[in-house]
Amino acid sequence: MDPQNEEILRIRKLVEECLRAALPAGTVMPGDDDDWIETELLDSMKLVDVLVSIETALSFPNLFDQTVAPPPTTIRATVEAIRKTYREPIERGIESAQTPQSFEKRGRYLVEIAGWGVALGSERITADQVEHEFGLPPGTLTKRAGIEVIRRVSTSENEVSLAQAAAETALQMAGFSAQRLDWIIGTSETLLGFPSLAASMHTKLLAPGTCRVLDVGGACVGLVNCLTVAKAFFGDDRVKCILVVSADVHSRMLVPGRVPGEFGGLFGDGASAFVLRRAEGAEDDKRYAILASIGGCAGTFSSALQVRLSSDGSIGLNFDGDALAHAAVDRIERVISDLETISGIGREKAGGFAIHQPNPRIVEIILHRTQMPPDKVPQVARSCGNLGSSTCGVALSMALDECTKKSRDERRPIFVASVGPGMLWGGTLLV
Amino acid sequence: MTELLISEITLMQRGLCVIGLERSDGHFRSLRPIPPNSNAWKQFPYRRADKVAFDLSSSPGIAPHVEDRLSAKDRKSGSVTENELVDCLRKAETASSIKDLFGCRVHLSKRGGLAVYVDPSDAIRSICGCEIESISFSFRFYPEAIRAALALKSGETLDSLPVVDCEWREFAGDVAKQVGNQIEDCFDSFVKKQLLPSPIRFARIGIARPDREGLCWLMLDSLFPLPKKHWLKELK
Repeated sequence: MDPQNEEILRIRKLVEECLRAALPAGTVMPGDDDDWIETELLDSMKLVDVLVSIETALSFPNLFDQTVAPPPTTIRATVEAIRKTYREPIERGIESAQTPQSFEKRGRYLVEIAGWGVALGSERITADQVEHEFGLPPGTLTKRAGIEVIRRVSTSENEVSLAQAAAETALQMAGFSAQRLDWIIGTSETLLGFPSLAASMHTKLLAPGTCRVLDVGGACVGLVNCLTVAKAFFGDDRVKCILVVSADVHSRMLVPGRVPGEFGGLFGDGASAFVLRRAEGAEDDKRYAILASIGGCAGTFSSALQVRLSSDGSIGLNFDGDALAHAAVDRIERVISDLETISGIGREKAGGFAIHQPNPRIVEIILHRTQMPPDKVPQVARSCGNLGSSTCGVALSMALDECTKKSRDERRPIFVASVGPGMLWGGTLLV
Repeated sequence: MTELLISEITLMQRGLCVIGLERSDGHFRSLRPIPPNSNAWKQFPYRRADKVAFDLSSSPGIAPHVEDRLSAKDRKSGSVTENELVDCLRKAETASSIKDLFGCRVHLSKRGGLAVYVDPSDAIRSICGCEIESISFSFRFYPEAIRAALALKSGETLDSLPVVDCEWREFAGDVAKQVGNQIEDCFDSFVKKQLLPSPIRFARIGIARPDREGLCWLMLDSLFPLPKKHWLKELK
């Protein structure tokens, strides 16, 4: 088959997949020129959903804006609109050989994870001790939230010391000296002073003077945001190695008297670090690489969690746990399905899921809804508490530990998904 | 006979949907006059802000469309100004947060966009007003769909509401004839400048009847101030 026809077939398949997802099960696929609106197959609500899901699948937001014509409402018109606008070959999935060589041929680059590390607060506090501290009825954290132990820092530990420990482990695993770092990208939802986390890490690791630093926000989505930013920085050919680090010490901020125990009691202290590098040779095929990143913000759910530092130092908290849980579950499910759509890789092919974990009960609901196998979802919140931006990082480290035990041929993709106040969301797919 | 102050005339898939305000003890409540044998009006001979007397009787409408009333013998009895209409709307069903709009939480579309829906068994009503901080329009899928993003006073946003308000849709059509592909830029600059400083800036959000999957999607039923013909001249 000539390449042009092959391309049309690939686009058509994608359009049909997105259309089928919006139609009731068993609906017969319309003909090429059947108008979806006129035949009442779709209303305007569903038409928008179908077109947006095609844009998501192609990782091309606003694709249909470029067509300078009314939105397509038939299979043929949609395929044509995509062909006119989308210049790159439609390639999805691990089947399309995502190797450094194949990426380079297309003028792209592949970013791999060369090392990772974790550090947790050295003190283990049982959930019933935490309930007692906050004056919570027994069972609030243990039975309702499902937390067993919270990890907390000792008096000699803080965000920077945890981050340093995690970073040194990651650098050691990568076999890199801190002297090779081009960027340090940090995120923390608890270190609010200056020097910031990234700057403090630069000092602690004695990174070279030319190594730049950046702090990224996003609270629980912070780590995913950092990975996205780091991947973009590799677009500069001179950038070879980036350290991403997260660290959160909630136990000094969310204390009894400042916040209700139903909120403050959920959190623990921890850090994670990842050494990212541009993949350059066959040896690099053995490592996990970032295949896709997605993210966004839906202010619809912004009131479910709002945390503000008042001028008198008190914490203003607006926390609707029930609303937050529902929105978080919905959103994590959608992040996973969007990553599937973008990559063409189904969740059943995954080797691990590193997801944000507000509390273990919410994780159970997410597992039920998304049909993720529990043994592929590293449990962080149950034994550490919610670690904020580091929850995803610690979960990803655990997933990498497990998945890299296997040979490269047997290794499966890792889905990363997180949500944070705003409501922000982010997802990354590693292959 | 019940006198309704017509507050919404919206364009739905099967025709026009009309809502009016019934006065009761200084307050107002929304009622949806339904023509016999249909959920929607093929034609509606009155305008927004008209006072219309109807012979109303309860309808077999299903929750959350509790405002539905079977109607007959409609007759115009007067009209009010746009400012007076908004005054009345502010004394009808209002909410300052998304959850309070329909007494339940909303859910994000699972399929692609940023549209939101409610579970019909959770919602207590199908229309509600709210004060808005800001608005922007999207014409990405025009003419099939116009979408609006609203920021509420609570800081929450509704990011992709289908605009079903007949007057706004008609106005968009007129603007499109005038400016073509620049319609989105035009709305984002000129139209927004007319809307945001207005003391009667106010929105009414409705929920559609359940779709084939049983979901009720949120829509922008009314946006005040209403578009004005003279804006088109100013656009030139």
